[in-house]
Amino acid sequence: MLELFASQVVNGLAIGQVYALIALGFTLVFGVSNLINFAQGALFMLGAFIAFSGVTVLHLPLPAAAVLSVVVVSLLGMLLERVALRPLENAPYIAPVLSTLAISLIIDQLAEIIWSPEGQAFPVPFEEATYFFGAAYVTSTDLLIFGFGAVTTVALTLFLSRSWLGRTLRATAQDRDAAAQLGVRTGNVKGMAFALAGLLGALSGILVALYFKSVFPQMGLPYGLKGFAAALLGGLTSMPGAVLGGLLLGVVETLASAYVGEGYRDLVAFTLVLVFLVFRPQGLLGNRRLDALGGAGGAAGAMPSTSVLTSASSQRGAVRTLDLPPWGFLAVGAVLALLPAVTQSAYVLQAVAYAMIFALLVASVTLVSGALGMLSIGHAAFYGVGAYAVGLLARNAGWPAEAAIAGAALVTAAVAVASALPLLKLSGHTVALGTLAVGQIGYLVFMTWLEVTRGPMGFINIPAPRLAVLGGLNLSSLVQKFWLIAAVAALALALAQRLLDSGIGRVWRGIREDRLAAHAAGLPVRRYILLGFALSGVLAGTAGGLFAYVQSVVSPESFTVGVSILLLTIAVLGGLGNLTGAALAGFALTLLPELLRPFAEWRMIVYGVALLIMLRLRPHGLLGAR
Amino acid sequence: MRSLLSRLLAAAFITVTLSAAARAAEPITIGFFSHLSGNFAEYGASFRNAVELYLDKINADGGIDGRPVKLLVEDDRNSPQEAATVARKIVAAPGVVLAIGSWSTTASLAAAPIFAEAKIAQISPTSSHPDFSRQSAYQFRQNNTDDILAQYNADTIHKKLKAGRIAIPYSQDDWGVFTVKATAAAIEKDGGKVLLTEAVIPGAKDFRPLVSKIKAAKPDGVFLALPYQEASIFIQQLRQAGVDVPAGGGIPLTSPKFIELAGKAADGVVVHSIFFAGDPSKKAFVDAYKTKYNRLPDQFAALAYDAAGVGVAAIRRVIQSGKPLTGQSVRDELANGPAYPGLTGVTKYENGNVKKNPTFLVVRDGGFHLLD
Repeated sequence: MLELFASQVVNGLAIGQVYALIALGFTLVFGVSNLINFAQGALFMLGAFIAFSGVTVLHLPLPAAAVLSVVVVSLLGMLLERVALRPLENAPYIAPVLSTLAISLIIDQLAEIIWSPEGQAFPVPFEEATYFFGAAYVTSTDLLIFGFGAVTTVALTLFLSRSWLGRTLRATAQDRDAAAQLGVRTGNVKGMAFALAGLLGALSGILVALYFKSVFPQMGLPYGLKGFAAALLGGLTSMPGAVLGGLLLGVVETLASAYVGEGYRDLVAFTLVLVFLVFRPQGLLGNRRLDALGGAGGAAGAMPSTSVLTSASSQRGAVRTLDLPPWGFLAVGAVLALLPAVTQSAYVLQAVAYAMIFALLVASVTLVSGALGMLSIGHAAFYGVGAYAVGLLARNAGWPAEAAIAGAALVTAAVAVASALPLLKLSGHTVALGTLAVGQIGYLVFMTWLEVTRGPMGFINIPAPRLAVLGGLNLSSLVQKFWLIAAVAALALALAQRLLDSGIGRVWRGIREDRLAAHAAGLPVRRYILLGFALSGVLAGTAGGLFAYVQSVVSPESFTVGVSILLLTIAVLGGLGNLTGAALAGFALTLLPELLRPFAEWRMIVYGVALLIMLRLRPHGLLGAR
Repeated sequence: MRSLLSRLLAAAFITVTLSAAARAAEPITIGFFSHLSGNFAEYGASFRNAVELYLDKINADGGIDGRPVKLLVEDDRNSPQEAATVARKIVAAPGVVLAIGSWSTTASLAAAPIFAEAKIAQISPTSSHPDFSRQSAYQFRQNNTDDILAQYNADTIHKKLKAGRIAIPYSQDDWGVFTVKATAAAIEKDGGKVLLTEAVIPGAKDFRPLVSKIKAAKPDGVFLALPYQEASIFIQQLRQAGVDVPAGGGIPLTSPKFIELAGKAADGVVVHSIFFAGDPSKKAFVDAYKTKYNRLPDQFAALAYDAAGVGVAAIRRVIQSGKPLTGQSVRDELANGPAYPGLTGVTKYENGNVKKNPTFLVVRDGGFHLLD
């Protein structure tokens, strides 16, 4: 028994050092530019694939291909900084994070187009040896990874602490303006940090490819997430912390897999992240800087402020915002309700129905991410809770539609409030990591709680909505469901808009702009944040419930982190905090891909590019953030 | 007078023949939807290639009784939501009388109510969960259901590989969860023992904890109820840990991609299949497929080819019987038609289900060979 336990710990250390390597890249960039680089996972994946192509297409020996890949990805890292981040130095704090998100969307999808979405065998040039110690074993690849990891960590630490270049890096991280005044070319320094991050990304990508003997275009996101988690556990700013965090994550999830079940591995990993966020937000070896950082810095690292919308150089400029009054949503809903008179095409009605649901959903995201200023990359989980709740209430308990949707909204609100509790102390970029963990946990619960959700098999046979008000009328046809969705979505949006226009909305925006000031002014900040999450949960739960009714089948792949990222992207495009913008962008960007269906592969790339352009030219979104 | 009458008759005759000719040339549309982009898109590509190959052959021979066949291709990205959307699109397109799709049971199930409502038959080449054909009278499949496959799985590991104490890692999806239960039951019924079963989340890659657990349980056989991507990494990590007991697999491992990804670790793995590209009687199809797509067809291609074959045969019978060509008439011909001999065995529908016999294959030198 003990022998098996020891061998599982060794297994955990083996995968843990892989996570540690990825985490180092994040930590480096965060330490230097206070920026959470969401594109790190994409660089990691590219590193593996360029080495793969070097070996299979150019017929280079592996070491040469690896060097080629490291050089190319380092240059790409610099290019990324130059193209996607430097122009945003004086943009709102939120812009650089979203910019790296956009880049990762683009790179991930391009990789699927270039190398096909399939996994490929990675040619391992050497015969792998395994060394046994009782039940435990390590392979020669493990030792190789350990060697590279140790050398890299030591070299990086020495470079940062001893060399002049390293010192300029750290000086820039501490105070960009002061460093610039002392003659440091801060622009170049940041470029170098990203080149280093690219180097680390490529190196870890190649080593992971050797570990699994295969490469996958989709490996960027899951391993990127694990890298984040490891970096967060370690304390985000500490190199040894990143290594320790990686090892801890590896051991904990391996033990979970061994003693709870293979299916629970990721669930336990992300729960660990959430636990750390609550009890030790500075991580294992981090300093309190993380707390102080909050939303401060962005790409620039200047005055601490909690607002995601203000920029480093100035307070927010005056931006004209366009938004509808509450009754406007009802009017638009009424106009849309006439659509079945124009067309009977089920395909068109279904597409518009989804578009209305998404409008509602994006509005829910913008409430938290925009009005409250707490970036959410986890809203798909709330959406899912609503969908499953309606499934359970309508199918298993036989509730009529009005009760089921209201019930789902309340359940989701409760879940949203509960998941907001650990996020209360966080703000700015770190809250994005927290919500990411929440979103991932939600998805994994849908995936593993088979008794309730039936996991990947999907929750099937959700009955058509039955309206008790109209004497138990069954809305079985698509047109009737369409009307239900138009009515509910319009009403929910109108109420939310009314709320945003009221004193409560003003307090939310006040908390976003300056949490400390709001607190000092005697406002119960925590209560208002929880209220914001509750209302966001109501909207997301309603959207999920409607989705379950149209779809009649609900399965976890509708609620992945990818969906959450997409929702946040759409919310930003519409203008953060602007319900009209959110609803319009959600509506339009759900319909647009339908029109462009033949170019489905390019959909995510178009979103990514649109987001990049928007951040550059109109960072406050189409209709203006408010 | 007489001449006027004859002229009128002649004119009427010409009109009738002309309109008949016009009707004869009118194309017949078949809807197709599967998994054409994203992860596992290899399966969908096999489907599409095979269906197009079959319809090319039909159209080159002058179509179905002179009417060309058009294929309406849609991508469902293996997502139930997308499957429902493209199903609506297919049934809304004019003149669709049959639909082929999709790859997974989950996506096929999401589309099923839409085809049932539109009274158009849906043939899924690979949905193996028994629930699929229970949805309505409009659902048909080409492969065996999972309860039949479970017996073949048990035969593979217990009878062919002679393992008595078996470990089964399974994929936590519709197929895996059903398969592991039914396979374990079949093994125990035949006198074998299942030591442990363990769920694997789709997309998992690090199996070392599971491998250590399996190693500690000391089985004498492992059955992989996993998709080829997970299976290929699992088997490599299993062999790496020094566990060299026989391994068997089901339908997903018949994809050539499994051998490509797993490399040498795949050697000796035994699978059951209802199609074998090395079978001389399938040479014409294999050669045509290879010429057109420059790769060997797998079982998935063969199943989709048969789906198209069964469907076209039903449409042809409707046209020849002179009945109006509608989704309903095609569905009735499918359900009540004669047995259709295809590449993967004989299709004779009973409540939308078929029963086909397996061939056992072993992986050797980077390819599948008949197990002797």
